[in-house]
Amino acid sequence: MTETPKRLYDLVFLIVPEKDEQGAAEVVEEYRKLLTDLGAIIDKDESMGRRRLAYQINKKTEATYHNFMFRAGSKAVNELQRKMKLSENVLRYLTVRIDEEMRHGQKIARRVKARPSRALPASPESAPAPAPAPAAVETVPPPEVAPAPESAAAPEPVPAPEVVATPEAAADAPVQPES
Amino acid sequence: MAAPSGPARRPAKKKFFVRRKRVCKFTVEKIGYIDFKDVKLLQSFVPERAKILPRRISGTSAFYQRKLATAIKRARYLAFLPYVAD
Repeated sequence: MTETPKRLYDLVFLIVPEKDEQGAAEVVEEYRKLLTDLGAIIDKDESMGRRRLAYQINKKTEATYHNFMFRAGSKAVNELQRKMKLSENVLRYLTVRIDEEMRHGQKIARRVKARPSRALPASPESAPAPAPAPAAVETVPPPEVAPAPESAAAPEPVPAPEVVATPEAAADAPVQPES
Repeated sequence: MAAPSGPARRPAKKKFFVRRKRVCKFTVEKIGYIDFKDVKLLQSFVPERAKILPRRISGTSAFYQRKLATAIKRARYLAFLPYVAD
């Protein structure tokens, strides 16, 4: 259980704004070298550029950000952090072990993918709403339609007509028996 | 007889807000890990006052809300995001 560089760390550190581009690059180079010397494998090495700080740190309002992702053991990280703490060039640093977090997150994401359908019960309101209206119409009209079938309403007597159709049928019906 | 009964039965127009279904951004986009360096993403969950947007508003699932909170806190430490808005 000694020195298994399996742990993936994400390191972001802020270089003091007094350093110009070249100076910052030198600082970065220093830590890059330190990391490799400590047996770390650097996966990602990215400068995030000069940014405005969201709040002041040591009276500074901006800094140069740099990001390393590397695999190493805990001892390497300890040593690195100690060095950074002592350094006057580094304004702030944060090392986070992310391998487990990433693995766990991906597991969850995959699980979500497995059960996608949840949008089925979308029509509990729309279904019952139209139902009562037709029911009301169907029960009431029959008495009015009933007299008509005798003469003119022969073509469609049994099927209960639609909402609009019934009044017309009812209106036609009284006229024809009279004539 | 039929005419009065029809409209009366029909449900009156509801005056409720039709609230759009909130969905968890991370679940939808299948983001497994919320990176604290992704300032743009985090910023969308940190409104003006620099507080973390509650999930009752954002619709983020509980799992991702926890991840999001840690990511935001890490980003704050690195001055990507403010602790307090001035």
